[in-house]
Amino acid sequence: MDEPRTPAVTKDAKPPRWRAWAPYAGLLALVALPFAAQALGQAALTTLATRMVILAIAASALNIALGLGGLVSFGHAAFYGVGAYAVGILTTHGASGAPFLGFIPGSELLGVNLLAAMLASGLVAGAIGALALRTSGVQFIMITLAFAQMLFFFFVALKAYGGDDGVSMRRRNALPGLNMRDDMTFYFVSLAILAVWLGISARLFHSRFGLLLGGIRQSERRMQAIGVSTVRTRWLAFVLSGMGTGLAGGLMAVFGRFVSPDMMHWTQSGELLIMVVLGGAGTIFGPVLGAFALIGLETLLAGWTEHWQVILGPALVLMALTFRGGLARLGRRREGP
Amino acid sequence: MSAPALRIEALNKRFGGLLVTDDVTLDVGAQEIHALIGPNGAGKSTLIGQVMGEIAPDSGRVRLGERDLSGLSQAARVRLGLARTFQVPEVLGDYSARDNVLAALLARGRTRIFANPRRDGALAVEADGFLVRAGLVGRGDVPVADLAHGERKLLELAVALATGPRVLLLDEPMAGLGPNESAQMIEVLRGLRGDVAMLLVEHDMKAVFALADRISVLVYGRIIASGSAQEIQADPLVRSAYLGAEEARC
Repeated sequence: MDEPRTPAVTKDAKPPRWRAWAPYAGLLALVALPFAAQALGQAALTTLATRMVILAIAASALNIALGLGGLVSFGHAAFYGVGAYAVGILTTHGASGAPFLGFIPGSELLGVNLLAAMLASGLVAGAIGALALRTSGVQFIMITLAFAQMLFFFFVALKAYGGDDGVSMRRRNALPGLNMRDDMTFYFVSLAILAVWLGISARLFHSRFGLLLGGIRQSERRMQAIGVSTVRTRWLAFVLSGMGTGLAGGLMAVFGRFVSPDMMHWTQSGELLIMVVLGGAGTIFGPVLGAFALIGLETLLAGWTEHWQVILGPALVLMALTFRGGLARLGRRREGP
Repeated sequence: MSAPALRIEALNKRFGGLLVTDDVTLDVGAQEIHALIGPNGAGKSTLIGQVMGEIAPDSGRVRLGERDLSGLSQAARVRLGLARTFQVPEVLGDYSARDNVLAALLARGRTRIFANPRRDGALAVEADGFLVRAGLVGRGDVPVADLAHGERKLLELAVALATGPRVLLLDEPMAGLGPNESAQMIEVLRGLRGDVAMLLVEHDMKAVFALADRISVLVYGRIIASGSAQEIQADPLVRSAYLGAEEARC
C-alpha cells in the first residue's frame, strides 16, 4: 500500500471518500466497544481499551512536540510519570488528611488532581525544556533521555512515596455524580477526555501557533528571518506537550490506582515515540491509531507466546516500511500540515 | 537625499585569524538600491548576517533610521523593519506558497490565538497581494515542493515583503537563475524601488548595473570603492581586484 510516487499523476487526486468518514466510524466503534465486550462476556476488553485510550492521549500530546515541532523527545515518560505521581501523592494525602509538604491539601477529586497533574508536568517540562532546547538533533534526544532517567532514579529513591514499589491508592478519584469504580464508566470518562484533548489539539494544529511551529520544524532560519522567536515558540510547544502527557499519566494512575517509577522508565518514552511514528507524526488521529495498534499488538502477541517481543520487533519494522508516514496517512496523497 | 534608512558604522568581525569584516562603513538611502559586489569569500553574507543580528559583530554598530540596533535580537530587528532573503532559498517546504507568506504575516502578531489563519479570507487576500508583487500570480496554492528554483527566489521576496520592511537585504537574488528568470527578478525589484530601500548583494553585473543607484565593492572584508556605476567601472583598483578577475574567469 505504498503511496504512489509520481506527483504529476496524484497532484489533483482527491483522497478516497472513506477517509472523511473514518474518524466518525472510529468514534462509533469506540462508543460501542464496551457494550459489545459485555455482550460477548469479555469485560477485560473494556479495561484494555481504557489503557489504549489513556495512552492515546499521551501519544497525541507527544505529537505536538514531535510531529508538529520536530522535537524528538526521548524523555516524555518523565512527564507521564510526574503527572501520575502528582495524582498519587495528592490522593494519598487526601485519604490521610495530612497536607503535602505541610501546606498543600490533598484531594481525591478527579478534576482537581488531573489539573494538578498537568500543572506539575508543565512545570517540569518548562524546566527541562529551557535547558534541553538549547541543543538540537541527537543532543536533544540524549538530553531529554538523561533528564527522564534522573527523575526515574529520583522517584526510585523517594522512600516517602514507596520508592521502587510506588504508591498504591485505596480507591479511584471521584467525579461527582458518577460511579468511577465501574470500569465502563471510567472508560467513557477517559474517552471523553481523549475527545476533548483531540479537539483542542486539532485547533492548536491549525492555529497561528501551529502554523508557526510547523514552520520552525521546516526551517528555523527562515522563521527567525521573519521575526519569530523560535526558541520561545518551541519551548511553549514542549510545555504544552508535557502537560498533555502528564494528564494521561495522571489518568492512568487513577485507573490502575497505582503509581510507580516504572512509568518513567525510558522504555515508556520509547513506546510513546513508536505510537506517534507508527500512527503518523504530525497528524491529528495518527497517534491514537498508533496507541491502539501498539497496545493491541502487544496484548495479542503476549497472549499467544511468552516470547512476544521477538515477534513484535520485526512486526513494527514491517509496519514502518509498509505504512510510510504512518497509519493515519493511508489513502492520503499529500503530507501535511 | 534624506537621512539614510540603514547605516553600517565601522563594523568589524574576525573569525579566528580571518578578518571577514574590516572597518565597513556603508549606508543605504531611504529610496535607494545600494549594490554590494565583491568576489566570493569577500564577506558579503557575513555582513548581512551582522546587520540582521544573526552574527554579533566584534565592534561597530548598525542603525535603522536613527535607531541603534546593537544588542537587539533578530526578531526585534524584523519588527523594526529589516528583512532579508537568502542566497540558497530558505522556504517552508511542506507548505504552500501562500502559507509561506501567511507565516510572515502571522509573525507580525495578527489573528486570535485559536482562529484558523488558513480560513481567514482577508489574510489570504493580503498574502496573495505580496505573491503578486513578487511576480507569483496564481501560484498561492502550489506546494513549495513543486515550485521551480526561480519561483522559490521570488517567494522569498514575497515573504520578506510581507514582514513590512523599510530595508530589504537581498543576498544574491539572481543566484542560480536562468536568463528569463533573471530578467523577471530585475523587473520585480525595479517595481519595488522607492517603496523599500535595498542592499543588493549580487554577482550578476548585468543586474547590478540595471538596478543599483550606488555600488560598493567589498574585497577581503574591506570596502575598496564606492560610487556610481560609471565611477566603479572606471576605478582601476576595482578593475584589478574584481572586474578584471571576473572577465579573466569567463
